[in-house]
Order: sequence, then structure tokens, then C-alpha cells
Amino acid sequence: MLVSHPPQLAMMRIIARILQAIIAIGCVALIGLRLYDWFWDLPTGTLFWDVPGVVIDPSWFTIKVRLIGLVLDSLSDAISIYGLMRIFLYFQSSITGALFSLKAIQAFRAFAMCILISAILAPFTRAAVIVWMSVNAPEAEGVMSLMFGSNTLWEVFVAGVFFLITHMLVRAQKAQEEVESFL
Amino acid sequence: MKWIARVLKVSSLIWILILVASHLAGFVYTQTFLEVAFDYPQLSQTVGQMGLAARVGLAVIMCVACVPALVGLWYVRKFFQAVIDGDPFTITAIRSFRIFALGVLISALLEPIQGSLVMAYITSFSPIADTVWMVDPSLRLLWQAGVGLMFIWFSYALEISKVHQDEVDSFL
Repeated sequence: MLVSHPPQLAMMRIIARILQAIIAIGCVALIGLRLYDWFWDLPTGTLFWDVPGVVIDPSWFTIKVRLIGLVLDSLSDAISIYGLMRIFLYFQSSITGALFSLKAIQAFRAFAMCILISAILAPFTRAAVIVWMSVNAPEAEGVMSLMFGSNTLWEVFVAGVFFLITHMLVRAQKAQEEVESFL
Repeated sequence: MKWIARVLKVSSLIWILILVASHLAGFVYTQTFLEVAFDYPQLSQTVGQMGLAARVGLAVIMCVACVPALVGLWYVRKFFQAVIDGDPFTITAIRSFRIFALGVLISALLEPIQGSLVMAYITSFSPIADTVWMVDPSLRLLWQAGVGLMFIWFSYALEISKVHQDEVDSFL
């Protein structure tokens, strides 16, 4: 059992609940946004700012084109959502159970890995979507566009911080075990 | 673990330089730099006609959300250094990580306010448009705020770890 630290633990539980709400809202909104982009708002969606010529005439957007586009576009999001689900479940268990458990370390490690993979994958999935749409568009030639922005760099940085957090949790778990063994 | 901390310490400095450089570039090339110009091309002309004082004002407004992030990135380097030194459970390290966490969170919360201020500021100079107040929250801001909160959560975990570490040291 964790040694009692009421002020910090109480605050951590409040933050964990807020984070759970943010994760739930974020995941649902992300899925909804992707579906909206591909099935309702494709011609003017934010996805095609880079290659507006591809979507001049939306009449050729068949269900097949939209579905494959959606799958390609959602690959990095799906990885992020998996990582968020892992951390969501950990926060759920941390509210009632131990903070520095093996489950916490595994959840944070999986989350960090998901952020990293998602950040690196995102420019490539976007490029794949642009290639897919431009190849299928009747009025456009094949277009290839690969972009790495500051968002990608920031996500990689954040993933690195979470990897560091994972290592710190390992140390924290050891310290906790030592305290418990002394007690 | 130490090599990650070293990489992150260098990265945080690079991030500070990127943020400062991009805002300076934003000041010099405001007309094309502004994201608002993509949404409202007619406003880029307004920005182009602004005088020096007006541009300085715009540059200041554009720093609103950036400053907390900059302060956080500056302080988190102390935390990374503490990890490199092998003693991350110190009051200084924990405090510096919490400042970083708060910086990320406040920056995320200020982002839509900054966008609104920029929009209102530019449109107030426009001869063709009335002053527009527009708040544009996005999923990315939710993500940033979530990351900031997770970092704050972790700073409390660090505090508890410090207590454990102190107890272990007292036993030894």
C-alpha cells in the first residue's frame, strides 16, 4: 500500500478525473471530426488546404475513395487514441489504487511510444492521403507533399518527456518498495 | 535515462530559439506569417499597411501565449540537469518541472484568446471590416491542455517520490 500523502494524492485524483474527461471528449471529438471531414465536409475540409486543386469537383468522391482516405488519414490518430486509452485506464485505476505500480509504468511507456510513433507517422499518412486523392482525382495529376512542421517536433519533444516520466516512475516505484520493506 | 535528459535539455534550448526566431520572423514578415492571412486574405493587406508602432503592438499580442511556454522551457532545463546529475527528487527540480507544466497549460489556454486578440487588433485597423472578436478553440488546444495537466499530475507524483526518497534516506 502507498504511504499516505493526502494533499498531493487528493490533488492528483482531481487532476486524473479532469484528464479522463479531457481524454474522453478528445477521442470522441477526434473520431467525429474525421468522419465529418471525410463524409460531409470533404471539399472544404482543412485536410486539403495544401492541395486545393485536388478537390475542385467533389462529384468523384465515391464511398471507396472516402473510406480508404479516411483509413489512411486516421492511422496516426488511431495510434494516439490507443495510447490515450491506455493512460485513461491507468488514471481510472490510480484514483482508487496504487500510483507507482507496474501498470502505471507500462501505461506511461505505451503512451509515450504511441505519441512518438503517431508524431513521426503523421506527415507520412498525410502524404499518403494526398497521393491517394490526387491519383484518384480526375482533374489532377499525382501530387506528393511531405511536410514536417513545428507540431511534429513538439510532439517528439513531448514523447521524450513522457519517456523520462516513465523512468522516473520506475525510480519512484523502487523508492516506495524500499519504504514499505522498511516499514 | 540520462541520455534522454541530455537530449531533452538541448531540445528545450533549441525550442526556445525556435520560438524567439519565429516570433521575430513573424514581426518582420507579419503579412505572410499570420495564419489569419490564410483564412482572411483581405486582412493580410491591412497588416501590410500597418505602421511600425502598430506592428510592434501586433508582435506583442502574438507573444501572449508564447511567453508562458518560453518561461516553462527555460525552467525545465533545471529539471533535466537534475536528472543528469542523478538527483531529480529535489525541491528545485520539482519546482522547475511544475513551472514547465504550468507554462504548457497556460500557453494552451491563452492560445485561443491570443487568436481572438490578434483578429480584433487587425480588424480594428481595417478600413473594409468592422472589429471582429472570434474565439477559435481546436482539438489541438485540448491536447496541449491535457499534456500540461499530465505534467502537473507528474509534478505531484515527483513530490510524493521525494517524500519516499527522504524516508528511505532517513532509514539508511
